[in-house]
Amino acid sequence: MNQSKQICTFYLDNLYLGLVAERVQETSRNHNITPVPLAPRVISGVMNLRGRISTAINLDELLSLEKQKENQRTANIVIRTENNELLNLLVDRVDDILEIEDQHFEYPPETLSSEVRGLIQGAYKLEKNLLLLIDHKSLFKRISQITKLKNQKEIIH
Amino acid sequence: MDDMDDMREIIQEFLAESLENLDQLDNEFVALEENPTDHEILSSIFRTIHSIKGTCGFLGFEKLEKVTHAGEDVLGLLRDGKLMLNTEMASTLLTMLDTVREMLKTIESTGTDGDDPHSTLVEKLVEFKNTENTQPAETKEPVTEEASADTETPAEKASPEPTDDTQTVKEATAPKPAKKKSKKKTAKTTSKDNTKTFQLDPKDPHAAETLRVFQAECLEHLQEFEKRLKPQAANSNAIDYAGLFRAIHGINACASRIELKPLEKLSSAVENLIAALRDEEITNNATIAETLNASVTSLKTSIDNLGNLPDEAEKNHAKLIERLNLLSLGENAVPEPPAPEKSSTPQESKNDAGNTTAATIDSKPGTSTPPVEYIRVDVNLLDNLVNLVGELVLARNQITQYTKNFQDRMLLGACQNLNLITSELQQACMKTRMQPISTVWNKIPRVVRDLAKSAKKQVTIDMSGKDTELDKSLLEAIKDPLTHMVRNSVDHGIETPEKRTAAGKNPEGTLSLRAYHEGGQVFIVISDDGAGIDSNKILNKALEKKLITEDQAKAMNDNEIAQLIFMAGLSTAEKVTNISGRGVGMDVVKTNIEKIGGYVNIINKPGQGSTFIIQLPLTLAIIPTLMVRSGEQNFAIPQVNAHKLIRMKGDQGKNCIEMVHGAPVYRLHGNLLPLVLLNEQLDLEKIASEKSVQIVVVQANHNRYGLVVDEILDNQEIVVKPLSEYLKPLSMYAGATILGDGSVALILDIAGLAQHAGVLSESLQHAVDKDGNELEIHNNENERTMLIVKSEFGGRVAILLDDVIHLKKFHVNEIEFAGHQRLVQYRNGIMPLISISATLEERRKTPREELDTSKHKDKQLFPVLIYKVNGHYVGLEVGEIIDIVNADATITGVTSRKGAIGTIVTQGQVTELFDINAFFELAESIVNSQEPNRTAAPGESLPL
Repeated sequence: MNQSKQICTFYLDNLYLGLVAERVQETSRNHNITPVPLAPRVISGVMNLRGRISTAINLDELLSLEKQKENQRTANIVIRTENNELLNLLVDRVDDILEIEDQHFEYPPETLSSEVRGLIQGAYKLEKNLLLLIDHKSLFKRISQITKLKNQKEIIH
Repeated sequence: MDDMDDMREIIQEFLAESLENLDQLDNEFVALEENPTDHEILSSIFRTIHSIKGTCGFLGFEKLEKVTHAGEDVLGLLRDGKLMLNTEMASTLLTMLDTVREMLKTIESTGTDGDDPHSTLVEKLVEFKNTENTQPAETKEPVTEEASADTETPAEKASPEPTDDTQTVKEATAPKPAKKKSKKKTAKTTSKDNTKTFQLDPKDPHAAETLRVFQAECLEHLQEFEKRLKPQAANSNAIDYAGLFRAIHGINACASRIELKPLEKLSSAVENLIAALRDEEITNNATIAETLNASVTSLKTSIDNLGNLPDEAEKNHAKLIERLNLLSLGENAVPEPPAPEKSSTPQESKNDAGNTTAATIDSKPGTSTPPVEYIRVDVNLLDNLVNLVGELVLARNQITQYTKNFQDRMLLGACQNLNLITSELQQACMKTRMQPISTVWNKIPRVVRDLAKSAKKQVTIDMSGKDTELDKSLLEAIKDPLTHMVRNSVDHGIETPEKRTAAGKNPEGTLSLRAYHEGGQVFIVISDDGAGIDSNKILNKALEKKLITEDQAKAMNDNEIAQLIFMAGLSTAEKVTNISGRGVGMDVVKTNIEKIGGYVNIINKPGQGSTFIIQLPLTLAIIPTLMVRSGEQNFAIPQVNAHKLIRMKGDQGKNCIEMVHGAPVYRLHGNLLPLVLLNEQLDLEKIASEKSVQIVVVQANHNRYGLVVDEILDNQEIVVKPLSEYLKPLSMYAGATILGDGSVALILDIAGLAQHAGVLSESLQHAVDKDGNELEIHNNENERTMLIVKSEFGGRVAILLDDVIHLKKFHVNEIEFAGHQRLVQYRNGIMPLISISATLEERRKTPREELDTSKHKDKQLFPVLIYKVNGHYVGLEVGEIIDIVNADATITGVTSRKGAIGTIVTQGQVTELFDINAFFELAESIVNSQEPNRTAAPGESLPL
C-alpha cells in the first residue's frame, strides 16, 4: 500500500510550492505587516494573529527569487515552528490541500540553484506541473542562521 | 483500581497539605525560639507534626512516622512545659522539619518514604525527650511561662520588647505571647480566661475574608462528619472512623488556625473520642452516638457564631466537652444526657461582619450556610484564561473602533455592553492571579534566622503589608531577588552585636520589609538599621575594577556611589562568605527586577542602614508606555525608562541640537545630554518637519540619553507580547504589542538601543560635570573644551570654556546703558557686558556699536558667557555660536592681531584662540572702577 501525504500548496512567482499540511496552522489574507527596522531582509516584519505576534517571512528572499515588492504577496501561510512560534510565509496565492502519494516523490533536480536546493525536500510529479516540497526544518534553520549572522556582523561593526 | 486511585489522591492531598504546613512551621519555629515558652505556637507546631504523623501511620510510611513521632514527643514535652527549648533543640527540630520535607518529596517522586531511617536524628530527638526529668516541670499558664522565660532566655531579657511574631508589626503594647497571623488580629487580652476570646477583628476586611473561608471550610468538614456518622444507627461496625477522624481533625485544625478557642476545644474533645473509637480503645454505644450527634449540633452553632456563644450555650458546651473527655477515657457512666444546645438564643452583636451571617443562620440551625466555595485550579489554566481575555480585549478594541463609523443604535448599544463586560472580565481574570506577598515573605524568617545564626548576629524581622497582592508571575520573579537582598542586608548590612553596641545601637538589628500599593504600582521596601554601605569601600572597589574613572568618582555623591553596587562585578564583602560576596549579586537583582518592568533604588545612610526600594507593576503582562512615532512607525517606550519629554518648536528646535565630535548633544539644565536619533539608528525615513524637535529623555542602567523621535504621541497601557526567537538578536526591541487598531507596535529596549547607538561606552568616557555645562574628555592632555564663535567677517574664534560659570542668552531689550557701558541684570545684580571685540582688535575700522547692534537686530537673543571676576559677574558677549568642541588647544600658528593668542585647528579649520587673559584684565578694570561707587552708594544705579 502506498503512503501518502497531505500537502498545502501555494504559488510564489512561477513556482508551485508545498508544505506538509500538518505544519500549517491556517492561511490568511492579512497583510498588515509592521516592519522591524534593522531586522534581516528575510523577516518582513511582525503581524497580529488574533492576539499573538507572528513573524512575517519573506520567502522570496529565502529562495533568492528576483526581488519583488513584498506587498504584492497578498496571501500568507501560517506555520508553527518547533518552539511553537508562529511564522507567516508571504506568498502570492494559496492553492489547495492535496493528498499526494509518496510514489510521485523525487529528490530535487540538480538544476535547482544551491541555495534553493537546501530548502527543497523534493518534487512531486503531478499531472500538470511539478510541486516543490519545502523542507520546513531547513527553513527554520536557515532563518535562524541568517538572523544570527546578522547579529554577529553587528557586533563586529 | 478505584481504591488505588483513592489512595493516590489521599497521598497527594496529604503531601500538598503537609508541605504547606511545613512552610508555616518554619516560621513558627523561628518565632518560638524568640519566645520559647509560647504555648500557642508550641501547640500549633505539635498539631501539625501530630497530624503528619497520624496520616503517615495511616498511609504506611513507617520511617516518616518514626521521625515525626520522635519530634512529636519532644514537642509534646515542650508544650507541656516539661522541657525548655534551647538553641540546640531548635536546630534539631528544624533539621527534623527539613528531613520531613525531604521525605515528603521522596514520597512525591517515588511513592515510598525512602531508605534512610534517619536514625541519628531520631536518636537525638529521643535523647532530648529523655532529658525531660532533669528539667523542672512548668505549668501551662502563659503568665508564669513568661516569667520563667525571662530567667531562662537571655535573648529575651536583652530586648524588653517582646518579639511576638516574626511577621508581626510591632505594637507598642504590654508583653504578649506570640501568635501567628497576628497582623490580622487585635491584641490578645491578658485575661486568663481566654476561652471566649475571639482574635480576629471582623471589621478588618481581610479578617472577614479569612472568617468566611474558615466558615466554609469548617462546614464542609462538618457535613462530611455528619454524613459519615449516619450509618452508625444501622450498623455500628461499618463506620469509617478514619474518615470521621479526618473530618473532625480538619475542623480542629481550622479552629486552631484562627484561634477559635471554644471550637478548638470542642473539636479536639470529639477528635479524641473518635481516635479512641478508631483505635478500638473503646467500643461504640448509644451514649457515644448521642453525644456525637449533640456535638455536631454544637459544632455547627459554634462555627456559625464564630465561637461567640451566649453564656448558657457555653455552659452546655463545657458540659459536652467534659462528657466527651469522659467517654474517650472509656467511662460510660454519664450523669445526664446533654440537652442539645439551643442555638436560637438571640445574640448580642459583638462583631458586625461575623454576626450578620451568624444571625441569619441562627434562625434555622438545621440548614447550613451556603458556604463560600473554593477550588484548586491549575495555574496554566488561569494563564491561558488571562491570555484569552487579553485577546478578547483586543478584539473588543477593534470592534469599538470599527463601529464608530456606524449610526445603528442597536449595534452601538451592544458594543457598549461588550465593552463594559470585557473590562470587567479582564479585571476579574487578573484578580484570579493575584496573591498576597506573604506567600513569598513566609520563607524569609527562616532564611534570616539561619543566616543570623551562622553569622552570629541578632536580627529581628518586622513586616508590614503582608496582604499586598500582586500577580503570581511577578511574585515568582521577585522571589529570588528579594531573598538575595534580604541575605545581603543580614550579611553585609547588619553588624555583629559587638559592633552594634560599640556604635551605640541596640545589639539586635532590625530588618524591615514593607509592601504597599501606590499609583498603580507595588512598592516593596527592604530596609535595615545596619552599617549602611561604606562609600569609600565601594569607590575603591569600583576604581580598582576600573568600573568608573577617577573623575567620575570625584563627582559622585553618596547615593550615586551606592548605586554602583548594581554594577556587574562589584563585590565589597571583604571575604567571600558562603552567603554573599561573590560579585554576582545586585546586578543580577537589578536586571531581574528590570526584566519584569520594575525598578530598584537604594537609599544609603552610612552608619544608619540602607534601604532598597523595589517598584513593580501590578501585573507582568500590562505595562504603561509612552508611544512615539518615528518614520511611519509607532514605537512604545516603557514608562519606567522615560524621564522627561522635550518639545522644541521653530528656531529653538533648529538650534537645540549641537554637535560634539559629530555626536549630537542637547543641553539639559546645563548638562550635555547625548542624543540618539531614532530615525538614524533604525534606518527610518525622517518625516517630521525640520523645525520641531521632540526628545524623550530616557534612562536605563545609569545611562541617560535623549531619544529624538519624530513625534511624541500619548501614554498607553499595553500588553507585552514576546517577539520571535529569530528577532531576539535585535537587542533594541523588548517585545511587541498590539494596538487598538489591531496593528503591531514594537517596544523599544532602552538599554539595548543605547548599546546599539554606542551611547553606552561614550557616556562612560564623557563624564558630565554637574555644575558646568561642558563635557570633559581627558584623552589628550591639551584637549580642552571650547566655544567656537563667528568673528566679524566669517572667521572662527575659539574661547576656552574652563572658567565659564554659565552660558546664557539675553534679549536685546534687556540691555541697559550706563554711559557707554552696556549692562544687563543678572542674578539680582547688574552685570557689565564686554563684547568680544573689545579686546579683539578689529582688522578693519568699523564702528563697534554699529557692528554689535546690527548683529542683534535680526537676532533678538544673543549669547553671553558669564565669568566671575573679583566676586562680580562679568558677561562676555560673543557673536554667533558655531559649535562647542573638544579640541587640541596646542597653538599651531601666530595670529595677526591683538586679543588672540594664536591660531589652532578645530574641526579641520583654522581658528583664532581668544586671549581670555586680555579679557580678564579689561573685566577687572571695569569691575574695579565700579567698586568705589558701589560702596559709596549702595542700591543706586552705577554711573560709569
